[in-house]
Amino acid sequence: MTNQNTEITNAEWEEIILRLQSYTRKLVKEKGWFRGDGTATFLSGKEIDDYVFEAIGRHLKNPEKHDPSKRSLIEYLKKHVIRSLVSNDLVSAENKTASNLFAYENENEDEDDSAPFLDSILPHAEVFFDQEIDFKEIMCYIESEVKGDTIVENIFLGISGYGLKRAEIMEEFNMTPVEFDNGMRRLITIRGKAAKKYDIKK
Amino acid sequence: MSNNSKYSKADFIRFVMSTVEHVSSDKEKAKEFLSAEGLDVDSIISDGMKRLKRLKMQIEAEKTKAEMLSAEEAKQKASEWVDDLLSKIDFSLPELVREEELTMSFRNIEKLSQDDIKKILVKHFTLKFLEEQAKRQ
Repeated sequence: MTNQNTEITNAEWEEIILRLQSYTRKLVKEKGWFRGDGTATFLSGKEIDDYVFEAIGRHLKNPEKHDPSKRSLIEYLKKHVIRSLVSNDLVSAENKTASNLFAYENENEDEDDSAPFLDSILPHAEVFFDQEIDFKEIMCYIESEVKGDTIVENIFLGISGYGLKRAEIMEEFNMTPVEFDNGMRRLITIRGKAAKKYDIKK
Repeated sequence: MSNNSKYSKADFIRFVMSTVEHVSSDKEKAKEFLSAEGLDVDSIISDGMKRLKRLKMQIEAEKTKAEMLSAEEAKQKASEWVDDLLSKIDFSLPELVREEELTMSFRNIEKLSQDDIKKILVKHFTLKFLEEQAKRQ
């Protein structure tokens, strides 16, 4: 992906828009896993598009805030701008019940934080976790569902057991990118079944 | 709550959040996810590019407005600065020309009216203040 000193092409903008749309949509949807019931309303009045283009607009106004030597523009927009916008709304007055793991890192938006999102949220997530969700039972259920499908088993183990990322899982378990992506799709399907079984609201 | 599980809350969170990264890790996965959500990917792109164009124009207009405002402020400051300079008893134009490295024909200095001098100096200091402002930014 390009850096701030070169003109971003239309093709690159198309990729940015699509990836930010997916990231934001999924990020917003995941709240059901952490906040349990009664969370049907979310960030009222705002569409996914609003977050995406607010993030892009902030970059266009202040491109110097993105340091391409540290992270790509998409990673910067995802983890430093959109996440911050979403968490701001989560802790706003109309979402007072929304104290959750998206919110804690707000004050660090402009810091040089290259740590992956998951690594950075874990120490803080405990405080905000919805106690009503029996995560151990859900994890046991998923573990039993992935049994017999070695690829999915390894991905599940890699992510949940060892905190590995895509490239690390592929290397550790000698997996091709296609095998990983297909396995991840199957894991997401299983996760969907778990959400249904445990009545996780989206 | 099941107590015999080897998984912690952190493991659970890590697992749940892993899909956020997965669906946005490249263009194809993003397209796949958005299509699975029942969304029209082509429309997202075309609407998005239109919105981007509007956004760029809006930001450009804001920048132009801010620059014009900034130039006005610099001119006002320069005007006050020059008034102050000219009101000093010991003011010497040739000395100022040397200090400020002004490009001016010394042969014509004596022929300049007070208004001409003021106009030249206001222009010079306006540019100087704008340059200083740009350096600070």
